[in-house]
Amino acid sequence: MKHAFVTGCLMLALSGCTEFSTMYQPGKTKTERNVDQAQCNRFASDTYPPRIVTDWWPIYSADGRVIGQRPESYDINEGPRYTAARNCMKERGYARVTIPYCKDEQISGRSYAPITVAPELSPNICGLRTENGRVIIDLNKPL
Amino acid sequence: MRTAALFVILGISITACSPTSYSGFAKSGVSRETASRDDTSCSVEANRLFPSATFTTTVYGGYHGGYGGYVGGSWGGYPGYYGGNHIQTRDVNAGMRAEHRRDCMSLKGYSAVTHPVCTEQQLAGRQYTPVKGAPKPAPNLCAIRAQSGGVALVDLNKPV
Repeated sequence: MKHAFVTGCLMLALSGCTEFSTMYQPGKTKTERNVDQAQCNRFASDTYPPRIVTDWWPIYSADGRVIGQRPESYDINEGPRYTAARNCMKERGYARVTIPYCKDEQISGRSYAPITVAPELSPNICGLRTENGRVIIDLNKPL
Repeated sequence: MRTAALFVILGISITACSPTSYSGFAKSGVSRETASRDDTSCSVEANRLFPSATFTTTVYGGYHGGYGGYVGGSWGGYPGYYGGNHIQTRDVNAGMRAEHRRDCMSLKGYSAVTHPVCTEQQLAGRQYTPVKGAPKPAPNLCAIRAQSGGVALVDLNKPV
């Protein structure tokens, strides 16, 4: 079986953020997590479809007179939709967690295999950016 | 040794304007029909597991100027105003769907490939026949839109 090797040279190509936030559940594979997220997203979009409303706000001149109006459109279901997706994931056992990105000195030229099943979080778990997306590795388990 | 026939399923890479490359999957030793069937199978699975989900994001705008007068940074200053917004709509499952399709094809032994689109200078008005078996990317290979509407690879070293 082919291993997708992650090397230190791929990491932190776009450093700037030092951590990332994600919905997480120990024991889940990335695919299982993505499928759950996709199903929750679909549930939320079906439950709260776009509902666009337009408000008109007055435009005032410098002396306080109303000289016109400006439209402001927004989707009143935008917030509830995000909330529904988040709650759906919580109901499936996920919790929002923050995982730090691995630092250069932590990698120090070693290679790691991406973790396929989400482990319990600990200080040796960190994230890497790769050309195929973000992965997490266990610093205690170099290849 | 069996002649390795490489078949590539081509698709338009997502670009804002006209595409500059075509991406797909390649695998040696399979027929075009098998490759097409595998791609369809992975796409169907990806579509089932990752159905479209439309989410919106309201983007709040900046200054909307009117007639060119002085505003001075104060809210509502004549003739423009600060504010306004627009709503962006996107399928939030699209990325995961594409990733799953790619992973699925990878498990079937395919590798992702990208071919550049032929430029007018490369074609130089000459005619080409589509390359059979769609080999791996090479400097002499590029993609064109076929008359049938699909995409075809041509060998620049072999004009008709």
